[in-house]
Amino acid sequence: MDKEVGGLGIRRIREFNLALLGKWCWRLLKDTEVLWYRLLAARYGLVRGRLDVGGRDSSVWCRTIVGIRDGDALVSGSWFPDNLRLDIGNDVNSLFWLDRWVGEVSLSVRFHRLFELSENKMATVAQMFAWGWYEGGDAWRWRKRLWAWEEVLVEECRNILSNVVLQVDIADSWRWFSDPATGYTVSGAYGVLRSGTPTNHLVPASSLWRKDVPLKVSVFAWHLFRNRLSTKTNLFQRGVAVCFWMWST
Amino acid sequence: MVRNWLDVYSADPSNIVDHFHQFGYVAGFAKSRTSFMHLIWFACSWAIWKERNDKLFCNKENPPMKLLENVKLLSFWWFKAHDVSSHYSFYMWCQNPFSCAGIG
Repeated sequence: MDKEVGGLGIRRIREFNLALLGKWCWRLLKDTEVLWYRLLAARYGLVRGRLDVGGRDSSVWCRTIVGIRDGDALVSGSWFPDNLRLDIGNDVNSLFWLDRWVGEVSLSVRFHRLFELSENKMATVAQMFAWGWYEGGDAWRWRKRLWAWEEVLVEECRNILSNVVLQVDIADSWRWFSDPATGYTVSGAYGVLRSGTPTNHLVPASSLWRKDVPLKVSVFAWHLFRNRLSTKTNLFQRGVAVCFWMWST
Repeated sequence: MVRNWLDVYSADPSNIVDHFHQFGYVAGFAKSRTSFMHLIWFACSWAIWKERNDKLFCNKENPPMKLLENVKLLSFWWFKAHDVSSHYSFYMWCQNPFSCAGIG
């Protein structure tokens, strides 16, 4: 809690850790020329210009970083990609569907149906542009013939794209949404994370539901972790009538 | 007391979920060790819950030592039921549960 509101100013360790890890994600997107990035790329591999998780022998660190970057719900949720924007230039690495480069959300979110049908899911913006995203352009390749309502979506998508001008001589640059001027800062990200509803970190299913522990115990623990045990306090809070003899014991 | 039995040490987070996570790691970070500690944790919470219910509804009260015994017994049963080939006795379980669980 902040000192201003009567706390000791101790940070929330989980959120702060995420903010620090987020800095790595940020630098993995920005500083792709430096030696440590090239080392990581060699160790874990790249997928479309982004660091890959690196298969089964990957490290926890790498998986966490990639999980945060991709907004994996199991790692930390989508706070990182939610706050990321891409100013499009002539870079070959920006993903047409998956990155947020036009509008408030990525095209794969906004036109989910089209993304499902697209044959060019991993195409970059530059590729799509080169193939032509005008009507009947080569960029629009689908797994099946589109229905009329799907054609309407394509039309809508094209309308958005018609406003886009690719700046050929400027490289792509990432922008941190909540602090566009300075980019990602740990304190800024910590603020973002803290302002969100506190992530209720639950116990993973695999460690709660075990074969060796009786089911009733697992169910009990499940209640316990959610603070839903039928204790006096909980029953009272929920307005369940509490008998007098219970109080007297 | 349980920690004394297992010869491990840790602080107690105030949040129940954190407590569960931390308890899982006090004996080491290997998966088998975490899993074992979680088994103990479940046994503890179950024993405490049962004790609380006994106290509240049946007016019975057990000394803390009895609770520890219950934890040992519960975890031993669960462990045995899962791993039938285990030839360790309850006495050995109380003496050194880690080696019984094959992670000593």
